[in-house]
Amino acid sequence: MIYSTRGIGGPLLLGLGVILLGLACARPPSAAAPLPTPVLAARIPPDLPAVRARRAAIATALAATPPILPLAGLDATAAQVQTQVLADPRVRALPVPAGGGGPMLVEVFGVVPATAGDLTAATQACRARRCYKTVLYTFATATTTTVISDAESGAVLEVATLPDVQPDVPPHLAALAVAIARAAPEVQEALQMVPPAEMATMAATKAGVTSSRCERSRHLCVAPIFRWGERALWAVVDLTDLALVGIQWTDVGATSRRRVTEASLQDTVVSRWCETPVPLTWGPWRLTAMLTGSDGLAITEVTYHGRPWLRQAKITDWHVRYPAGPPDQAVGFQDAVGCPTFSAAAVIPVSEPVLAPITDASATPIGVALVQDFRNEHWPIPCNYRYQNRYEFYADGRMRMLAVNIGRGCGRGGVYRPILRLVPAGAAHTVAAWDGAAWARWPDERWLEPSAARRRAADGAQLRIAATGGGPTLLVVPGQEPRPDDAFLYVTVTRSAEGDGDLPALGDCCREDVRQGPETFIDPEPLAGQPITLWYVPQMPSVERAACWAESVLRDGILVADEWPCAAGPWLVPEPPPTP
Amino acid sequence: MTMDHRPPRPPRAPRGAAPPRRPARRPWVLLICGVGLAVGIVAVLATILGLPDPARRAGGLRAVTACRGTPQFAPGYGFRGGVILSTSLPQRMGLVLLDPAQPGKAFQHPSWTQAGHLGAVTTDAAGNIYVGPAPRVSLATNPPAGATTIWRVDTRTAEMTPFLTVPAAAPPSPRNPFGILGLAYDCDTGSLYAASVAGSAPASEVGRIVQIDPDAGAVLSQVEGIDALGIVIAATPTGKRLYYGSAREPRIASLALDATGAPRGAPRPEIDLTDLGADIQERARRIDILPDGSLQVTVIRFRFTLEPTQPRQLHARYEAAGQRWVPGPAPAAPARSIRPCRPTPSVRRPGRRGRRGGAADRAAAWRCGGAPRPRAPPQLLVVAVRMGGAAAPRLRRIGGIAPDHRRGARGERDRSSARAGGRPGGAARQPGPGRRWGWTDPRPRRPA
Repeated sequence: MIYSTRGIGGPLLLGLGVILLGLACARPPSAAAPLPTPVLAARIPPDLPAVRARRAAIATALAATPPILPLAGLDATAAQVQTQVLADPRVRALPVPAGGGGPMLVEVFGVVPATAGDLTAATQACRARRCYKTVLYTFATATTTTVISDAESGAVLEVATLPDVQPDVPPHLAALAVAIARAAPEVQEALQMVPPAEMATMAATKAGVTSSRCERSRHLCVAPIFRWGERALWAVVDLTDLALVGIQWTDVGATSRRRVTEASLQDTVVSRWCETPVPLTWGPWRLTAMLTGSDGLAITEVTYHGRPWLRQAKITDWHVRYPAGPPDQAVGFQDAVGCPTFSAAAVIPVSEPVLAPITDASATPIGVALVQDFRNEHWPIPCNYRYQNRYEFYADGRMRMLAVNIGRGCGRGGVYRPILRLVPAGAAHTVAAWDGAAWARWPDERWLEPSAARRRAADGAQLRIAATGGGPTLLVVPGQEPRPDDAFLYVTVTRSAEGDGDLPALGDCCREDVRQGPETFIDPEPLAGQPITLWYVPQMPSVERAACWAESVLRDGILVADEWPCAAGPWLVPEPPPTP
Repeated sequence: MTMDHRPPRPPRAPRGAAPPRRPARRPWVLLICGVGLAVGIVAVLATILGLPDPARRAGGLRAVTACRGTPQFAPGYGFRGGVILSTSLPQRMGLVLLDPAQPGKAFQHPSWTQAGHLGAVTTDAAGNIYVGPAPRVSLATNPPAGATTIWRVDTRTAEMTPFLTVPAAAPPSPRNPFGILGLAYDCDTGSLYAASVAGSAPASEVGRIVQIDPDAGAVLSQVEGIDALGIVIAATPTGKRLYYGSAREPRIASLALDATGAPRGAPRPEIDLTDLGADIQERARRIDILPDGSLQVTVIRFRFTLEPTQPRQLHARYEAAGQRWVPGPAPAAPARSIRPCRPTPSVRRPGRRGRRGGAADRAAAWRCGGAPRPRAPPQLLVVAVRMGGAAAPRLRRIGGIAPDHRRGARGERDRSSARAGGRPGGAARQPGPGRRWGWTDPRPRRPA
């Protein structure tokens, strides 16, 4: 048959060509191209009607008796079973924390007929009767509770709890996860569109989402997957915080069997900071930052208005001493912080470094802080720690390096002594210490014990480091706010083997005198004509619910952390003040 | 100390007793007795000769560690029965000997702390103990330079000395401070195996599994390019294999071993731990072969850091029909059968390479004092350190040796802490898993 295209052939062909061109442009990324890097989200709950409704439902349930969020949309029999189950004393006790206090959020995830596989020795009677299985989840403890009950008599036959087990989420929570994922800027940017809800499907699960895990936060997490050609975008959603955790592309196929989880996302993203130094710029400041194997976040090549300021700064070690037993037998620990994989770190980062603005009282930006957080997985449970590297850069050329601790520690009375290492820029330095009346030059390596008398009254400066061959003259001003640092100061000749690279362990955890570790590098060597390294070891006592402390508290049915951070570190103030 | 697989003997008649009067038997009774006798003889022969047992026919594995002996020094320190070797007690660095028959009894030779914190541990037929250093939370007591040295505790003197340094593609470093992570012993060939991850980096897997002659202290063979954690030697229906847990992925693979015990061929994937319920970050820290041929896998989260971690156990059984490993139910708590078994001159060392020594070992065990017991778990119970962390030993019956560091709900621990505000003096709490207790005194200490 012959079709005449006279009169319509041209526009038709043109139209087809446009359509084909559009499809070609809209073609999903080729599987052969490298996968985009994963992205960690800010974990901020979106302002969505579904999120607001969820919060309202939680608030209502926590105020009810029992404070358990029931499952809606059940048939008559299942609804009756749910009522019977929620009347059982063992179930009503689920929201009650072991140590007392407000109710924990417990929610019914499912009410279904019990199958043979659900039955145990205690529920064999269900083989001849109609029994139901009710699944409940306690968010604060990540505990799944399974209840087998007789639908006819209403008797609860068995209540079994499984800690650290996450059940399949009900459809309404799956839909909520999809809504949160669709609204996330990270997902929209990755897909270059607002994905329709139908795009988040996964045939393997009835709920339409793939199970995931938030191993570190122990929150309830699922992962809507957006299929895009031969690739899939995992969007891990935290249903406890009601926020996106992060996204990661995978190839569809065998490699996608492995779930993308909170920990895998965090480690993949953060580990990039361990491979190559990352250049950062803010105003007149430039530097490179890199996560080390055991010395936290190190900054190098710091310049101010193009002038070398610092060669290197980092925290090499965290000591903590607890009072226990005889005075000569204290107990404590020695922590290294560093990369989340392949490192000597005991406390690892779970997020990337952030740049936070510093403003004055009138909200005018005056500086920026580079902050890297490190934490144990179960912080703030006792004997889990959280530390931060914090570098503050001010527009006027001042800089401050801070060691931050946010608990929890293993007990009261602990004292944290981080070892800060700072290497000023310059080929050589002269060092002088304030002797109460004037600057007294140091001829060789030595240390200073904490002493208020050795701080210049005008500005609190304790050391003056003047550089030759490039580099500023810096005043070292021990921190006094919120409490005095009480720091030991050490000045040594800069040696590459004495800390340029990772120093996995330095000194002893538990001494209270000058023997904190850097004294081992003091020979003493003459300082004349030599570049120097400044070691700064402040002393930060922990005070319960006041400083160097953190606690979990129940808020709206879930556990959140209340924090009382403590921070210490020296100011480096240029002398004279640089002119812009 | 051996694991006795053989069926129990019928009791003997007491000496001096008159033999029982034999009643008249009917022919069919004689036939039944004859058949039963024949079956019994065959069974005994089968066991002695090591014919395949049901576990093997079902596709399961059989451990080859029956010959491992109790250290000969143990009775001299008051250990009456079996011993438990622990490298993971939270308040003790190094190796500690525990007595399952005497809760609270612990022994540590002065030399057992010189290698710092320890991890993998195993024994040989003579009762020599082999341990590998493993840093716990800090490198202060475990500098990377010593991470690839195996230490041996002499079965007679209890002295721990360096035994052998496993060759590495690159030395340990602060980016990877780990070395030896797995040790295993093969009774059949008398070989010691060590798994080391020294020198590996995020983008390069250069770890090694080496076969060692413990008598000569020499490396016999090695496989390169494998980062392994727990290792175990097993007899399978198709020959001996070395099973190892990958240190990089949640999986177990295996290597074939030839008659001399040398690894041959490429690794064969065996188990994806995520199929057993593991996280993608969990690794097989220890693999135990149970009497029925199934596997008990102790997993930890391991990312080549010193971050504290909690171990947990998974179980797998072999499904012969599908020729695959599937999640298995957790076995019931095995009956404790600690058999006092003092090594005697008749205790045989394992057969030379290429010969089956298992039968001789079992025969020796049979002679090693005491009445026969039902099949029981190994009497030499090894508790390896959890990488980067420490937890109370899994043997809860020890009780009192180590505090329970299991983490409860976040709220629970904090409530306890709140109540602790009433404690006078504000005593420090026990540390959680992975925390090292540091003891100091005013005297100068040796450099780390």
